[in-house]
Amino acid sequence: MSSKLGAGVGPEIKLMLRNLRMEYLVREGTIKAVNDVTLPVEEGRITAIVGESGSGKTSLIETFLKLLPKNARIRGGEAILRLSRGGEVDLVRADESTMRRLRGRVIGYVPQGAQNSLNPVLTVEQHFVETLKNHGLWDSKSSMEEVRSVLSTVRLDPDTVLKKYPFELSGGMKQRVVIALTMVLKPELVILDEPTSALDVFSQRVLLNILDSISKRYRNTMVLITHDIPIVAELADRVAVLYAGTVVEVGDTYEVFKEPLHPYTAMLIASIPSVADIYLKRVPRPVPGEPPSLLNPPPGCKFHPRCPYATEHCRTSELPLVEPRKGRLVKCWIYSRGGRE
Amino acid sequence: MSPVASVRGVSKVYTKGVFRKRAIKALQTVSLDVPEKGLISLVGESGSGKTTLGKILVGLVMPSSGELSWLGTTVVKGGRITRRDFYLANRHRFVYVHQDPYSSLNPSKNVRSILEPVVRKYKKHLGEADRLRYIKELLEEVGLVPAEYFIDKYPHHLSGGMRQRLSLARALIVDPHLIVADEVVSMVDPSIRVSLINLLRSVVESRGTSVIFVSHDLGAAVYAAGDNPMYVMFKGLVLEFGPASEIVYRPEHPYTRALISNVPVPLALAERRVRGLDGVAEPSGEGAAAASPCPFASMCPLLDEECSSLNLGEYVRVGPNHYSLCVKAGRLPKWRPGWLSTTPGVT
Repeated sequence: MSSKLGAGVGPEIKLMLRNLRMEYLVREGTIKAVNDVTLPVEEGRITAIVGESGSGKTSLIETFLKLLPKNARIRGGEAILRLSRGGEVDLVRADESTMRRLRGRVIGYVPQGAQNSLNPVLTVEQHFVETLKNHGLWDSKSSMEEVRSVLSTVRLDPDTVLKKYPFELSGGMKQRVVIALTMVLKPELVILDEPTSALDVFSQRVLLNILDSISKRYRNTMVLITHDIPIVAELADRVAVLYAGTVVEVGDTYEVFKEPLHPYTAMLIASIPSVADIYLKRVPRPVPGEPPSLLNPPPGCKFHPRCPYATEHCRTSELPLVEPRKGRLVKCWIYSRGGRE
Repeated sequence: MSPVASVRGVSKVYTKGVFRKRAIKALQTVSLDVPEKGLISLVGESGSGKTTLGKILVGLVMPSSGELSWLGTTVVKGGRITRRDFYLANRHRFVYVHQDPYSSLNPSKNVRSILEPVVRKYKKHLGEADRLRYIKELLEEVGLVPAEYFIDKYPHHLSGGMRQRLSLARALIVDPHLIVADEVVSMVDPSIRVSLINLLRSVVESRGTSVIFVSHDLGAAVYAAGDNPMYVMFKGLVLEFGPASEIVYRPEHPYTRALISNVPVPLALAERRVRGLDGVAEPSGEGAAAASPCPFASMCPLLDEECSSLNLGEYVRVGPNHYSLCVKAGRLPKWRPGWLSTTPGVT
């Protein structure tokens, strides 16, 4: 059924997650936080992973970055990263020393709340020097020029910011310093976890513009994790919708917003209250029910208890990810075998 | 008919530092009426004073100056309680529901033992069996159905949205005059935010309780208020207030305009197009900005000498029940939100 998806990493796929599974072992049992995730991440574009809290967004990232806590177990699947110098690595099977070489220089990661991770006794300049030295990229002649250029990209004035300590900067500025620290290593793949969540509306807009210009300037692949659907609509080229630990829909942002195929995607978009509602004469409609517990997820499609189209089939059998149109993946029975019963 | 709660010119100054010399103006000369059986929204960024205002209205924070009235009776004036008897007799019916449903419920108590002591205290006439029936009815009212299933659950069994419903159930036991719902949807999953707001609206409808919906999310605040009043706050001041739908359609303060223009909207755009910052000037603290008392002056694109004449207590009436704290209100240039031109099919 998903034979096309299984046909190896294509030329323009930077990272291919295939049938990835991860569980947390807890006293009450196992939490299936990543449950058969298949997701192609296209090179040079911004892919947003959206989902509600507990849908496994951060767990998914930590699984292929191998940053999991001790009680986590990867139960299968692969994460093929294509390197720009040629060759591929399966991150799931890579050992810790390989991962250490990749992190930072190949894969940049800005975790949620990273602005609070700056060292309070170091200036911004010392942060950059230390980061570059640690990755063996420090060059006393040219590095500072590069640092200044990266700081300008994130709209900070190098002359004033470099000599400052973290406590002298606002939350939004610290956030941008952390992003600059990630970008100075020129990673091929950048992952940002909820970069906009703690910012006010104006700082948020400035950050969206910065991320847009970073993507245009460095032409790297970006993965953005967020629960904020309006931000996805503006910034992302591609969107992947996560529900109960699994990807239910992937596609180009415009296509997905214009015509969501999975019932959950459609209901989620329709449920967001927005200032545009007044102009569009639209009334947000709530999604009935509650997201499931990952400790005891429902059998079959994880969305079936909230889905108005659910049939007996949805309640019993796991659904494959199908490709109803080019570049679009959906995990819903409606699109298998030519339609609903 | 007197308003359920009202404040006149309230301010709150917090002092900081060893010698209490650093003053932080959390709230400046705010006046507001909470209508009977009404739902109003307070919207503002963090630090705008919306929580302070909410807490003053229910008597949890004492204002530094100004007046607070409940049901037409002045209870606080000039920083002290003037009618202690009335205040003590009524304060339990002005309740506050907190933002974080994960820390406002005791994890070692189940739903029944969270609600029962409150019922015992405020519904003294109910016997053992009636008390249980009352609790079940309450759970049904807030949408925790079937009540038999939820009654012996512990908070960790419940999702964020369900906990918020439980917090609301607890608040309803006292038959409140006013519920201040402070950021109740911000820690709740997006897909169930609307149903929680609908629940608040139905409480207003069915019980006649007044609700103040406090949020930093403009979309949620507008949806909650609808045609009811919304107060837009910034740096401790109310900059504009009026019917929420009217404010979104015809904002008459440059700050509100900038806010509406810059909020991301969930619209399908044919290509990736990140909008630039719209309606906000490069911050400057000099010249006309320094001369004006307006908190938005340093970022306002329409700033000029006229702005120094602004008086912080004086609002300009720009429509029925619609007021703005901008000296230029009513004479502002024509405006449309920045995202509207990129929206297909909207005129």
